[in-house]
Amino acid sequence: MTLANLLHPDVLKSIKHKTIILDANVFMEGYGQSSSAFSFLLEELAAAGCALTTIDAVRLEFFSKNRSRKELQDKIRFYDDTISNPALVIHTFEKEMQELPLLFAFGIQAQGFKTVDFMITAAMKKYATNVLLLTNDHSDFTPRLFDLVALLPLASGQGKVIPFGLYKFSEEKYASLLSASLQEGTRSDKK
Amino acid sequence: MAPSTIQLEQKFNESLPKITQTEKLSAMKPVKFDRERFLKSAEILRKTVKENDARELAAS
Repeated sequence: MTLANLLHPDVLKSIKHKTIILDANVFMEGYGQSSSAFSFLLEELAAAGCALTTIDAVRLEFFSKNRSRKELQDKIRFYDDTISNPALVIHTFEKEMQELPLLFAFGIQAQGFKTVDFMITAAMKKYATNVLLLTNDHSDFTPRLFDLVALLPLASGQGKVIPFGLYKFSEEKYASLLSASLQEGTRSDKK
Repeated sequence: MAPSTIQLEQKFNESLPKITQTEKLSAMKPVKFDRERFLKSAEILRKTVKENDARELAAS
């Protein structure tokens, strides 16, 4: 089995040498029934020169619930074998995390609000030209603020297909969301 | 004498694999992804989680 059909040559070209932030659901699904499909995807991403990493808030989320110390030990080993580069620490994108316009834009497009997802967004904004996100959370990273670079349907051994997406933070969409809200504000201010 | 909380924390930490973090995105260099290693650790974790699920179910 190969993933030659999953990652289109055009996609491979556009993601070459990018850094890919893995969402917590990637780690969760990664050791489940789709681990074989995942292994091919990660292999192909690494072969395209992509650095596989995450942010430490995702790491904390993934490590947070364990029924035994062995479960945590096994998670740490699995986590380490999944990423190719150490996680980004929060203070490297602390400035973006304090930006209320970004919080507003993220909140307006997301279906729910998860602090970790906002932290990922802050990191994506800081490194917008170099960073992509791999996630299956399509309701909090929507086309109103993010560009879907590729949709990657991963098949599990049980006939289930999990659609993962590679997302890019869009500076244009961010500016357009802010601009629309300011125009709206001007209209209501005049009333 | 019972060990102190600090000693227990230290012992707990020592029992876990080490995790590294980075402060620079520019320092990130892609390394070859080891598929076999990934699959092996996924299988070990899957097994542990399954065992814990079963234990939890039996206790409920």
